[in-house]
Amino acid sequence: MSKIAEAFNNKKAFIPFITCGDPDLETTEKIIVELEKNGADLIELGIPFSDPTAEGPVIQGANIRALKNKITTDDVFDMVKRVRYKVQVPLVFMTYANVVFSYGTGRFFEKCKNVGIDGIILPDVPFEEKAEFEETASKYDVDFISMIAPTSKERIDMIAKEAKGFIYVVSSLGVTGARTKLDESIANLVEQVRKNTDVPCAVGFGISTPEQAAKMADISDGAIVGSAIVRVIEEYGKDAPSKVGSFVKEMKEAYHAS
Amino acid sequence: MTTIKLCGLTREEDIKTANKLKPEYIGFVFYDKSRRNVTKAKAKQLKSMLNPEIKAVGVFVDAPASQVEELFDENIIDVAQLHGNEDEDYIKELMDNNIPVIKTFKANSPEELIKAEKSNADMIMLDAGNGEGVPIKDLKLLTFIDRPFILAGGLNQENVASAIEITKPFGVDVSTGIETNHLKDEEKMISFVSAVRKDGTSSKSKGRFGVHGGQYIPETLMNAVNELEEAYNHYKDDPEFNKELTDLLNNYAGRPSLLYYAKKMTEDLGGAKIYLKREDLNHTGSHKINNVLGQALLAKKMGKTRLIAETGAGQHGVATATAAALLGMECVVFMGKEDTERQALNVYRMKLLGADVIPVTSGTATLKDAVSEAMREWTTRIDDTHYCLGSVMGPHPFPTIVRDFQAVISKESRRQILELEGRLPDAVIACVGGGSNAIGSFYHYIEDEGVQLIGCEAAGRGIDTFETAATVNTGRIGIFHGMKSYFCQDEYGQIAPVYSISAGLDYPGVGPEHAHLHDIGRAKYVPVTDDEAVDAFEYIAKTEGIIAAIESSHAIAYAKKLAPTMNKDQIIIVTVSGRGDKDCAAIARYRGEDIHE
Repeated sequence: MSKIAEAFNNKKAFIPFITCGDPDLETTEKIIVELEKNGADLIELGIPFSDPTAEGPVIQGANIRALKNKITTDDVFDMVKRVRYKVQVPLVFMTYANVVFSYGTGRFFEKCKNVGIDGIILPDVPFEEKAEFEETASKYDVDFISMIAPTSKERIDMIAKEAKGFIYVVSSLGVTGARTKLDESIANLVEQVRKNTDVPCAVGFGISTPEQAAKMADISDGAIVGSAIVRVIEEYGKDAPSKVGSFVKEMKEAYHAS
Repeated sequence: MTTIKLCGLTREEDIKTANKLKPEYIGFVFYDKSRRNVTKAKAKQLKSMLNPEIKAVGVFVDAPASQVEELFDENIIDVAQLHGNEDEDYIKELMDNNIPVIKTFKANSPEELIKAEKSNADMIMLDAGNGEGVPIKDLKLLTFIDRPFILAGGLNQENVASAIEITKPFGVDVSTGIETNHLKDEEKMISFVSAVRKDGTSSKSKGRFGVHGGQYIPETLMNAVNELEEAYNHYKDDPEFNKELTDLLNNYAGRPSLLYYAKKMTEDLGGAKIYLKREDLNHTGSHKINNVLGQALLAKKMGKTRLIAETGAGQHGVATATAAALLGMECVVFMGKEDTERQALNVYRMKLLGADVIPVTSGTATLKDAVSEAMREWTTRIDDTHYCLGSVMGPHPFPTIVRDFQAVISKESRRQILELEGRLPDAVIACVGGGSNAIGSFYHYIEDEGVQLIGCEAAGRGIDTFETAATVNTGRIGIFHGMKSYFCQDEYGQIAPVYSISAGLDYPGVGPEHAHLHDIGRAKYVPVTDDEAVDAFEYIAKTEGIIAAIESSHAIAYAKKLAPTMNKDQIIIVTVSGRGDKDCAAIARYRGEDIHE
C-alpha cells in the first residue's frame, strides 16, 4: 500500500494545505509538526509560484509573502528533508507546471523521492498533458494526483480510470477560497468516480468550517482545507503553529462527531 | 522523458546554446586523438559558463584514472564517460571516489550487449563505433537489454524520434549529428532537442507547434476549451458564418486595410521600398478588431451572452467592448491597474461602450496579471461566458483561432503587393508582444521562403537589463498561461516582472507558434528599445503624417534600421498594428512634457 493510500485506510482523511515559506520556512516546519500532532492524515505543501492562476486572494497572498522572502524550490526541498525526520505523515506537493518544468522534471522528482514527498498536484496540468510529468513522477514513486471538477462531466471516467494516490474533487467552480455554501452535486461526482476506481476521493476548494469539512468527508473519503488555514497563518505569522494546531484539532473532532 | 547529452562541445557559443536548450548533459572530450579534444584549461572555462543544472560529462579513452579524478575534484566534470577498454576494476576505482560512471559498449553483437548488461557502471551507453557517428545496424537488438541505457551512434534530428520509439532508451547522445563542417551547429542542436522532446509530450496533447503550445489549464476549463474547439471547427467552414464575419469586417471594421507606399520614408532612408499595412485605420484603431469580431460572433453562435477579456494597452479591451455593444452582449474587461493609469483614455472608451473595466492589482498589475485574472474569472463563470483572448497565446485552441482571424492581414497584403509590385516582399516586419498582429502579418508568407519574417520585441531599457520584455531574446522555454513557449523567468521558473514603455508589449511570454517559428529559424525576433521606439513614433509622424501606436513603432524602428541596408528594388512591408492617439500623453511624459488628456 502506498503511503498516500494509508492515509485513507479505514478512515476519513483530513488534508490541510499550507504554502511553504509563509511567513518563513522555520514556521512552516513547525506548522507541519503541529498538523501531524493534531490529526492531519496527509499534508499538502504549496511550493510558491509567482502567478498562481488557480488560487483565490488568500493563497495568492501566501505565495506573495513566501516569494518576498526569496523562498526557492531548493529551500523548500531542504525544509522537507529536515521535517521528514520529525513526521511520518504523507506529504504531497502542490505547485504549478513551470516550477517543476523549469527545475528539470527528472531532477525535481528525483529530489522529491530523496526528501520523502509522496505525491504531486499540478492544477495547470490536465489529463491531456499529464504524461509529460506523470511518467517521470512514477519512476520516482511520486503519485501524480488527478483533479475532477464540477464541469468534468464525461471526462470523469477517463480521468478516474488512470488516477493514482487520491483524486482531488474540486467542489465548485472558480478558484480556491472559502465559500458559504457548497454545491450539492458533489456526491454525484464522487459516485461517478467510484464506478471507475477504488482510488479514494478527497474534496477541496471552499471548505472553511468544521461542519463543512465533516460533511464533505462524509460523502467522500476526505476533505482538503486550504484558504481557511492559510488565513490563520496570515493573521498570526510566526505564532501560527499552535493556532493552526487547535484549528485542525477542531476540524478533526467534527469528523468524529458526525 | 528521454534525457539528452550533447557531446563534444568545444566553444563558448556551444555552451550558450546548451544553456538555452537545457539538455540534461553535455560532454567534453579529453582525448588528444579526437578533433573535439579540449584542454583542461578550456574545459574549466567552458564549465564556468555552463548552467549548473546541466551536468558536464568528461569523455575518456583509456586515460589514467588520476586524470579523471583530478577533473572531477576540480569540478570541471560531474560524470565520467569511458570510451576505451577500461575494465571493471578501473570503473570500480572511479565509483569508489564517488564519480558517476557511464561506460560505453559497442552494440553490434549479442556478446557485447551481455557484457554491457553486467557492467557495474552507473549507466551504460550503446554505440556502434568509436564516436564517429556510425549508426547502430540493428536497433531491435537493443530492446532485449534489461537495464536503462543511453543510445548513441549516428543520431540526428531526422532519425532520433524513431530510434527512441524502437529502443526506448533512458537517454540519447549526439555529437556528429549536430555538426556542420566539424563544428557544432546551433540550428541542428535546437532541432535535435526539439525532436527528442516531442517524444516526451503526450500524444493526447493538442495544439502543438513543435514542442510549444498545448493546454496547461485547470480541469475546470477543459470542457470549455473543448467546446470552443468543436464550435470553431464547425463554424470556420460554415458559409453562413463566414459571410456574416466578412460582412462585419468589410462594412463595420473597414477592411480591407490599405497597403500604403511610404514614399517619403523610403526616400529618406534610401534603401528598400517601404509599404505600410495600415491596421491603424480599422474601426477601433487597431488590428484587434479582426480577432474580436470573429470570436464574438463564434461565442454568440455558441449561445454565450457575456464576453470577458484581458487588455494591456486597452486596444483589445476597446475592440471587445465594441463587439459586445454591436452584438448585444455583456462585457467585462480586466486591465492591470498600472495600465489603467497609462491608458486612461482607453478605459473611458471601454466604459462609454458599456463595458465594466476591472483594474487588476495582483502581481505586477500589468497585462500578465490581467490574463491571470481573466482566467480566474472564466473558471468561476463558464456557462454564459466566453473568454475573448486577445492574442495568439493561452491554451489550444486560442493560438490557432486568433491566428486564423488575424491571418486576414497577410491574406490581403499578399494580394495587394502582387497587384502593386507584381512580386512578393523581401521582408515583413511586425511588433510582437503575445504576437497576434505579427502572426497575422506573417501567416500567408510562411511557405514563401524568400520572404524574411521579422518580429520586433519590446526590449524596454535594453536586453542586457532586467527592464525588458524581449521574451524570445532573453527568455527560456517554460509553461504558463496555458501554453508551453518562451517566457521571461528566473532560474526557478518564477515569471519575471517585465517592462516596456508599451503596455501592449509588456508581457513575459510569446505565442507558441512564434516560439516554433523561432526554433526552426523561419522567423527572426529582434529587440527594439523604448528609445528606438519613441524615436520611430516621432519619425513616422513627421515623415508620413501617421501617428502610429507605440507598439507598432517598434516595428517601424527596425524597418528604419533595415531599409538602408537593402537595395532600392527590394520591398519591406511593415504592419502598423494600431494608431497612436492613446500614446500621445505617455510619449510627451517620456520627453519630459506633462500634458493633460
